[in-house]
Amino acid sequence: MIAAACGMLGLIQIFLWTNSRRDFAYLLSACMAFSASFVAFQEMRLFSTPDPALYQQMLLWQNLAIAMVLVPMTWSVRIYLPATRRWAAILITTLWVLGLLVNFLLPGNLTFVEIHSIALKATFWGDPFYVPRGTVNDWKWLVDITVILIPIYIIDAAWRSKGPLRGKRGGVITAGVVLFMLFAGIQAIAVDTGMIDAPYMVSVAFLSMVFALTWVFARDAVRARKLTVEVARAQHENERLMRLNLLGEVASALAHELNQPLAAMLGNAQAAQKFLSRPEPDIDEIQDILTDIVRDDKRARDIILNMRQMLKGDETFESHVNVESVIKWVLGFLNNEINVHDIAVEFDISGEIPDVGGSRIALQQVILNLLINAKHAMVESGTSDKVIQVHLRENRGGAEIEVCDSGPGIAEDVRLHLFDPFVTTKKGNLGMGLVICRRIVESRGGRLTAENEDGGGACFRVWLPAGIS
Amino acid sequence: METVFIIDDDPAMRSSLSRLLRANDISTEQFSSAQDYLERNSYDGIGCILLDVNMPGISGIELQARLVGSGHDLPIIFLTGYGNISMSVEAMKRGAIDFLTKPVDEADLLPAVTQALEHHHSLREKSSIREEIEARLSSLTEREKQVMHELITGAPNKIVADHLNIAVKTTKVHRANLLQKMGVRSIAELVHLCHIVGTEPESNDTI
Repeated sequence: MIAAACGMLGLIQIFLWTNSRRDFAYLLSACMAFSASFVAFQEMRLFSTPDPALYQQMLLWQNLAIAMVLVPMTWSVRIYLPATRRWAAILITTLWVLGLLVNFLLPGNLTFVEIHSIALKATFWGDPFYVPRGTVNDWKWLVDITVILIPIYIIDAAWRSKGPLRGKRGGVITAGVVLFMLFAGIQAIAVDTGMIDAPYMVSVAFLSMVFALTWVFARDAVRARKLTVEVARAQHENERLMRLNLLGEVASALAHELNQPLAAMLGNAQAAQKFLSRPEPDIDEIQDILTDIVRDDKRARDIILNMRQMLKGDETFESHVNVESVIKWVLGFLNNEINVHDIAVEFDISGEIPDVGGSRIALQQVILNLLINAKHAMVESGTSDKVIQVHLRENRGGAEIEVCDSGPGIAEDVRLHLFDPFVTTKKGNLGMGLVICRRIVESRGGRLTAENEDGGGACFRVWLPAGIS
Repeated sequence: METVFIIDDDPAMRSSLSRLLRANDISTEQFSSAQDYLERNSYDGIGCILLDVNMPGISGIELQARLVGSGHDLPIIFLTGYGNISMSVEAMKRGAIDFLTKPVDEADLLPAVTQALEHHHSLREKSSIREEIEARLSSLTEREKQVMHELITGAPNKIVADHLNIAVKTTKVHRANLLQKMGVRSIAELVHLCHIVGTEPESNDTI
């Protein structure tokens, strides 16, 4: 029955493992559960084996199975309780490996060098079982130590763990493993040395341990699945938030951008009124004025349309997005911002740039973000000679956009986590900009990388594959 | 002829402002950058500058500083996309005549331009009067100047003669000559002219 239960748990672990192959812990747990199942099965057979030679043979494999439970358990606990000490896990493993070498290479097995006789005993409720009587192996201490070592290893880790690990999860693992480890270990040692006459009950303890671990892991798996869904949703929301954030950043640029056509229209309209009030109005002049008003109105409309799309995230996929025009649009959009901070912008193009596939808005967002980052880097560090260089070139059949600034460059500690969420050097900023930029670029089969230039300053490089023609 | 110089990097904005002023019979000249304006030949007539604050290259504020530094006297009206108080205070301190926010209404723009042109006109007038007075002053002899300085303190001939250690009769001759040279008929008028060019009466104990 215990064997069946362990086998069942093993299957659960295998199932979890196949679902998330990256999670090595499930594989370890499955190995553990199947070995425990084997241990339980063997123990049952041992109850009814009167032949010393066969008993020895079975103990030989039993020891291997026990090793296959304890060693994976040691490591899988380590995955879930990161505070465990690595050297301790290696020590436990080494002890077991040495024990198994003794088990298989020296005469007899790790438990007994030799079994003299098999005694028939009865449990207190009357079931008969066989107990071996023999010479205990001198090397058995190798693995007996682990009976104490493993609980210490786990208690130590649980004690040093922080936050939730120290709480329920740590508690379940610790209680499950420690209690039953001690119970099984001491009981087995006592039976081996003939201190008590009882059947081996290692498997009962193993079942509890495997059950404790499976429960914790399975619960985590369910939780992880939920989290994955939540993370995906949050990411979507973040992308929208970034757009809002960007809008906040460029609000003054937007106001200026809209103000120009509005101001021009007002002046033109009032001029037309004046011209019309003359005794002989110049119709050609008025015609020109109206043409200009229409043009400026369209200009304002385009700005608003673009903004609205950005806000809503209305990303229609186009197979031919002209990168140059997008860069020029963004530079134009930031014109005021750039002038106010006295930044020189250099934009050059080399080679025949292919159109890229994707959404124009998303690309605008990426470039806008990189330019604003460059501006921030220079303005906040008080760089005196502020230059942003934008290079557009053909590379590996795609378009490569490089945005370099003359600021202090990316600090080494920031560089390692540059594309992690919530990493920011800006005040009042969520630090989602680059995360989302990279996501946008990669979702279109491109790459976004960052490095420092030799002469100081940071360089962000976006590569996008050519669109399908 | 009065001319308004429009300096703005946005062509739509420039032509709209230019039209609006032309519709009100004010002639204009347009420049797309501060640099373009600086390269223009100097202008001697009456006028004013409509200057955009945010421009690539030399900004509006920078151009103002340069013009003030090199002795230009055209009044400057600033135009800005968004109100920036510290910037406008700075500009006004440096002598900007007005600071208007885009989009600017005709009802705000025209009075500002008119005022600026009038201001320039009176500035030019004052300076031509000053030049005239200074020319007349320089035609006075040393003795006449001394007598004039005494007279504008309100001293009668007798006291002047006493101070300068000359005869009262001689004083009267100097007085008649200098009034004639300065083109005035009374001491009161003389005091007014001296006030315009900043010649203040000297205190008695300087001589």
